[in-house]
Amino acid sequence: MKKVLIIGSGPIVIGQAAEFDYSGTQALLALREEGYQSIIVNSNPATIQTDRQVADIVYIEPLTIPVLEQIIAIEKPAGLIATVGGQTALNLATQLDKQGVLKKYQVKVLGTDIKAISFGEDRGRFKQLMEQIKEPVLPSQAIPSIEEGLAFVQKIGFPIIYRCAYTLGGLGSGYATNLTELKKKLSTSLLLSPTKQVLLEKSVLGWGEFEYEVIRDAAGNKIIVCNMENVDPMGVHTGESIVVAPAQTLSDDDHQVFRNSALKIVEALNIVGSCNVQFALNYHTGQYFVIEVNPRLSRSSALASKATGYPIARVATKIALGKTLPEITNNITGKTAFFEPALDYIVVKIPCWPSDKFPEMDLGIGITMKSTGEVMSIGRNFGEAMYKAVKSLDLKENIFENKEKIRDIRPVLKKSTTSRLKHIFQAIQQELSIKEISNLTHINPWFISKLNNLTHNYDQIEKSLNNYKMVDTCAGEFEAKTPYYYSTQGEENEATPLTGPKVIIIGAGPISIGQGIEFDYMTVHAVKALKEKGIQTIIINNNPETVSTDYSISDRLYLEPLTFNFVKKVIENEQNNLLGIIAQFGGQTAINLAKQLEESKVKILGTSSASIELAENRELTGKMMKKLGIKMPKWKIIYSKQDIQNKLKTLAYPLLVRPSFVLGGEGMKIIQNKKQLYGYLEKLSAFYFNNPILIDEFLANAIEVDVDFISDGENTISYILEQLEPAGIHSGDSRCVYPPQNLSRSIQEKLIFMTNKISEAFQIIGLGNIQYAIKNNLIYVLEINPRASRTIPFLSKCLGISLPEFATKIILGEKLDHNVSKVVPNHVAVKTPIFSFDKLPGVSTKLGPLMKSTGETMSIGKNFQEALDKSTGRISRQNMHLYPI
Amino acid sequence: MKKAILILNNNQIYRGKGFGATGCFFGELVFNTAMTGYMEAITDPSYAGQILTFTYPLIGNYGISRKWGESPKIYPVAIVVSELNNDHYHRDAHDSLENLLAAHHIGGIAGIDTRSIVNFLRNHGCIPAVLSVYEQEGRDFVKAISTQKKIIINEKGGNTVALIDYGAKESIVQELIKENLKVVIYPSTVKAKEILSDNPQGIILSNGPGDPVALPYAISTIRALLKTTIPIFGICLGHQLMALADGGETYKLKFGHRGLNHPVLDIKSQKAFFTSQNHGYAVKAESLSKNWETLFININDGTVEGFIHRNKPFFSVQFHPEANPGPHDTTFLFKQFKALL
Repeated sequence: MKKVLIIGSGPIVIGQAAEFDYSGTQALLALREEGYQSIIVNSNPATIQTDRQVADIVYIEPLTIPVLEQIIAIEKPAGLIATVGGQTALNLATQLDKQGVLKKYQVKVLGTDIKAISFGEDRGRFKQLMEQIKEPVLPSQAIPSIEEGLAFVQKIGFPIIYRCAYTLGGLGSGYATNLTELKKKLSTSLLLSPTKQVLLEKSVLGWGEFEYEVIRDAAGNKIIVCNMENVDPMGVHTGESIVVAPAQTLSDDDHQVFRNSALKIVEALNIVGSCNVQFALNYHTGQYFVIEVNPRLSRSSALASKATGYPIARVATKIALGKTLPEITNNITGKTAFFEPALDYIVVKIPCWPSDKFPEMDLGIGITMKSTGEVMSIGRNFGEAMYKAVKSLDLKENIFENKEKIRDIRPVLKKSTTSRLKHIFQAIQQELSIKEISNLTHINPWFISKLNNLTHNYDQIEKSLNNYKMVDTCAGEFEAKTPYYYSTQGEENEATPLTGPKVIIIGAGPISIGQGIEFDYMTVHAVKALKEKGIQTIIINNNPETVSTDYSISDRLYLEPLTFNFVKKVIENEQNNLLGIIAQFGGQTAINLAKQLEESKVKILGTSSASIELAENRELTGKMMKKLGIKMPKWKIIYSKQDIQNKLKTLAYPLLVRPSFVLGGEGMKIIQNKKQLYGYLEKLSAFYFNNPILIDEFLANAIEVDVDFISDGENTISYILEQLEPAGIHSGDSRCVYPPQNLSRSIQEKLIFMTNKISEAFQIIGLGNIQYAIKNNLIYVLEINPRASRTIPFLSKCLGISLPEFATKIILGEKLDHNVSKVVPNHVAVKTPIFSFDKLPGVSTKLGPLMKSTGETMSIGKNFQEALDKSTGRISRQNMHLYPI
Repeated sequence: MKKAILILNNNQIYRGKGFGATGCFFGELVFNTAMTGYMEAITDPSYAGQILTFTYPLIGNYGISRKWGESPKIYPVAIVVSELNNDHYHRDAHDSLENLLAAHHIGGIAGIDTRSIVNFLRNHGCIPAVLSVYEQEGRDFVKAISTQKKIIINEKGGNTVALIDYGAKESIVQELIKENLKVVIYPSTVKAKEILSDNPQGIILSNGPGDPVALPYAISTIRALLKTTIPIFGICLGHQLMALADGGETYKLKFGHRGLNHPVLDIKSQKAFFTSQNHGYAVKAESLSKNWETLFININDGTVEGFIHRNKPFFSVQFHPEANPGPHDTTFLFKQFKALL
């Protein structure tokens, strides 16, 4: 059987997130469907694509040229697909080609070839090609030095955009309005560019921005899967923009101009697979420019797939293997994949930024990405879709009707920031005209007018959504069986409840720092375990990037906001034969929902909400610990200002201060003295007035240990993960090793003993996590999490079994399978956090109790040293051993 | 506000908002799955005789432009959309889709579950349908039926009364002639100034059709007349208009009063009468200002049947004292009116 190698995108960073697990997974499954043996290389363990159920041969190894060359030498793949692993995979494939590796081992690049890829990346050549086919591009020049840059600007004038080739999410790119600014920016940008080239180009700031998702096969058949309109104008990265699909303000004339242009471009580039083409449109004159092309799967293609139901990555992979569009079947309709989807709804995507986590972060948005994730919603009109998207953000405030006083909103509106939507609603309330808001923001007045309507009826929308409709790619024209639904107002409910026993799994929503792709990984695994048991699965989630929102994963997908009312409605629709809901894999979002749902008589499977409360309420936890004779650092809870003086006398500094019920250490800080404490409490009470504040004595220089465990309430199996960074650094930001290397046998035994006691006392059913600190040979419990933690995928990969699948069976009432405890790792693995500080100017790179990493890598070695060396890159080519799992 | 009902030939009925022209439209119900190009579609002669459903739920987003027309006419007899958008900002657009449809006498229905129509048509095939677009509440039926110019009757009569014609019955005129009055009939849109310049000794506000709220011009004329001390007698619609002119309110009765045996009670004398009635709206008793007191109430449901001004010679009745058809029990009101002149 022929082997095909797929390169993954590595750890989650800003600009490259879960969308590539989705595209990679689809590609691998398509390879299998077509009878190929698939190989995946990715350093990110929390991915479905690195599961043996998805890929035939899995390498969790560093994504470097030496590693890839070694894998190619061992596996001798016939082909390589470079277009499903984001910019990382594209760059690696380009390097493999340049260094002659592909030629040496006769590996054929499948699908879009390296030449086309380079056209998309080398702006000089791209521009030439566009001029040849008479498609308008911005006057621009690639410049190798500051001097040449200044000379070019003399010719075309300011404002000007500078862009760096071959970088992720727009790193090293920006906007300059004068000479001094340009000089300064160019010097850094030239340094960052791998090609030592920077592109200068005419600015179309404020124009409309449109994206077209195109697929072409080797025979030259082409389709437009979807077009999308960015609500934010040119100048705001599409990953930072609110996006709607399909475009709302284009006449058919406009649309056909773009469609023709996009088709012409993919033909000229000789794309074999998927490609994204971006346009700028002057709404007033109709003039347009081709802005850029991405000759690969992207965040936008993931969004387009979820928006239309058309599986772009699957079809693109089949095309890469030589099939033509008319030959491929659209699984939804049973008709051909040579089909342009017709939508009968509108999709809204809103990005999510880590700004509530990093109040010091620069809130401006522009041509580089800062958002960590996104939410998507579907409605039958703009108001419905927009309202649901905003609800999906799960904001602390009501932005439709904001009481906050701003003296003059005009200067605020001029700046694109992470709060843009809120500012527009505020401007509407201050009775600025639609025209004025549009002039200030450069947002098409059509959208402002719709937002204006929303301020009048937003509180009616939730009540009006009485039924569910299907996403079927064809606007109802053909009979479809897509198990993919959204709520709307209508007379007909297309989501007739599933018959037979079923379980609802609550997803984790958008990717944020502290709640990453790991939770989506577990959601997908829970589905698999339930399917094995013959139980039907229903997922509720709103993150368009992920594998869990691929409608082919579960028996039914509801793309809905993860708020009490929306989840409750789904439960009501599916209540016949509903065994219950599973919340423990959806992170804190799902756990918070579970508590409310159980109050309204919905059965929570696994750990009960009483147990959740026991673990999350410090007073109750403290009492239980006392009863069990287990130590915790000294602590107090502050409910009111009076408490501060009365309660803190007995505690010794340093102290660890945090609001309760938060995720990823949000608002958590180590405090050294009284003055600092008072200042910080003042600040916290403004943000978290509803939740009490927890204060612990902080154990400086302690060793921190994470214990993940699986339990049926009677028996427990523990997995000890040793943190390599001292206590005080959030466990998500700390490297860790499994199995532990520096803990004595007696400490390990004690940890296991304590974990057994706690899991039994708290009645944790399924997965749980306890954080311990060890100081002077004494063990303290820092935190008990009554849910699966972010290290479960890493551990599962270490052990070669799926812990979420075992946990799901326990959640369904089975007893703990003792064979699980006999599984021991063959290797030592190190988990290394990965940060995106380069994308978040203003955020301090100093690590502490607040989690800052966006992703992680896993390094596998025969011993600790080898794993550690792999993680730091300090390992020679000769000593590099690979361990496929 | 226009409403619409779409009836499919399988008895399936959709109720929604109406737009475009009012009327009844018949055609084969079909659907189109395009997400752009509604202007090109509706000007395509191939749609002649059909009711066109758009599966894309937002139609009208970018307005209309002659540039996009495939012909100068609109061909579907009616269109069916989920949401009609009249806000448009496209550089080429010069008007909204709704205005274009109204101008071309094309009906439309919006705010219905178009996807369920598509599901139906996919399973059963395209079938005939009827779309009715109508406007009931708030619609002015008076202007068109009122006399268009001033008419003088019984010129040799004694005192002159002005009769504002909101749809006056011949019997009212006959009753006035019986009282030997000269009758000057004015169009419903007459201004107070014109009536006053003719110096009438009394004014009659006639009966008429529909919702009094839809006649703001009549209300403002009466408001001016109420400032004078010329005796005014309101009948039926005239009674409701007089209430509105003094700041009162009217409302729609569930099924109205239409018949010849409606019992009313004279509050002062406690005497009861049978009256002839024909109205769908009534005056809200509690909305009348302190200047008025109730004259008659309906014995069946307690609604206001007449009121009278405490200081000025104004009164009105909801029923028809002129009868025809119906009992003549209350024709004495014309005599009482004459006595005021």
